[in-house]
Amino acid sequence: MNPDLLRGNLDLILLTLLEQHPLYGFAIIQAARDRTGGYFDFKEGSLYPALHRLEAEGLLAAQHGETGRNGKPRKYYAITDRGRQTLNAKRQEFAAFAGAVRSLGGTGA
Amino acid sequence: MTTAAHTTPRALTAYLTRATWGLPEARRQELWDELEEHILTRADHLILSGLTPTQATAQAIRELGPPTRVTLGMAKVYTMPKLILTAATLALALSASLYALAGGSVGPILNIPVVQQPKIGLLCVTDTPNLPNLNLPIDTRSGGKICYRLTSERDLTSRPALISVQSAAQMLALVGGTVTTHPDGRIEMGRPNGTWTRMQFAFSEGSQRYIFAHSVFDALINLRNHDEDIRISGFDQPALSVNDQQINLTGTAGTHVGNTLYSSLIGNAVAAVVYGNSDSRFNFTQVQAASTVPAHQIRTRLKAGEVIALITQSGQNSYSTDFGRVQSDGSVLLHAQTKRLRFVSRGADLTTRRNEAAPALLIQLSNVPLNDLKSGIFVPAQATSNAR
Repeated sequence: MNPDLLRGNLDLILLTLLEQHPLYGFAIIQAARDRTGGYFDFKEGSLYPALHRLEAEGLLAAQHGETGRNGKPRKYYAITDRGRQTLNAKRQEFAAFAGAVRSLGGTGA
Repeated sequence: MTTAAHTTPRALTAYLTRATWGLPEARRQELWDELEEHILTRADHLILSGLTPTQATAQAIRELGPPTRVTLGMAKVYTMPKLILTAATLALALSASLYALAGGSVGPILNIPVVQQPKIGLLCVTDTPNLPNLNLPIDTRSGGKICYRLTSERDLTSRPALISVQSAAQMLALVGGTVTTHPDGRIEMGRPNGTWTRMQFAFSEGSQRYIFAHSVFDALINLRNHDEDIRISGFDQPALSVNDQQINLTGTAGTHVGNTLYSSLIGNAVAAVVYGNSDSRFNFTQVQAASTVPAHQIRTRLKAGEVIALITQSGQNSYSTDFGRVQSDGSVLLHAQTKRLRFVSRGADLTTRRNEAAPALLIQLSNVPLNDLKSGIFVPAQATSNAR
């Protein structure tokens, strides 16, 4: 896929992935890949700054989970109430955009 | 889950140090732990797919991308004042250089012109009984050397990439090697202790003597001490790093340079990954692209421009190979003799079984230490490939 599309919608994708339950970094990448049949293939080096940014903005909150491979607790990211509000807003925004593109015609669904 | 020990803490520590550079201590430790956990977990997955711990850690680090990508992203999150951010960016550029130094090389740069064989001049080869009939006029034949006269472009359809003898001497000096030109035209590359390789071909134009770029590259690899780190990157104008020295191969020979250098690496790759560099005799051929040859589009997680080799076994001690460049979408197009491939992670697993997809090995040739080509082995996300 066009990496610009992924970059431009990164917050929407991450918040959606964390909507159901908290995940840690590596699991987020796997979930993105598994749930989209490999369509979303994150550049891991870009993922962590994005997660920290969403946490700093209050859209995600960090929780400590089980011990990881390095002997330290895994850092799970959970969506906050504010994160859910933002997710809803971003979904509406994206739906409006996709609808507008569709209304332009062509072969888009 | 395996609890195999990871044997490259130095590479891991170097990566984490650079990725977390400049962050406040608490944030730094937090990100360090997070990235470390990520790399170790991913490495465990790769070990389960057959990579050694060293290969797995190296691939997990590669997949994470350049550490500066993480650092700059984090610097933006923890809103440093603009002036500090500017200083941090500059420092990161330095850090990136140091990282490259640790993994490759950014020292003083040596620019080496590479030229294509001119259309007119002399093509000289060692005079042996098995010399092919080149159907060219002979200019001189003495001292164990025969020189043909090239008078038009038609005389040589494939014009190889060449490096002057003086440039070759500059390159080999980096590994303590020397170049000696004998009065009879023989050119020897060696070490003061007597190890040497003899050039089979030389091209001369006027007083200037040239040797094939891939022969110099071979000599560089073969003359190095085992602990010397040599890597290659790029294709049309490749760069070599030799310890802390970077060599830029400049000129307008285009893809000829990359083709000739990476072709010469294929044999080293087979020797390293299949035979563990032990003295073994084997044959390998490069599959030529043609409409009837199976072409495999393989998705990788490598960045555009990296050069990947594909090796399959074509018979007893015989291998079929190809190499290609990763495109901007991460895919690489490679040719093989068979339509169905199954990716493996060890040379020992290349034996083909009847009615099964042919085992295939992928190796990253660029930006990996050439004295440890095994570290370039990787398995793509797809377990198999069906030629298109």
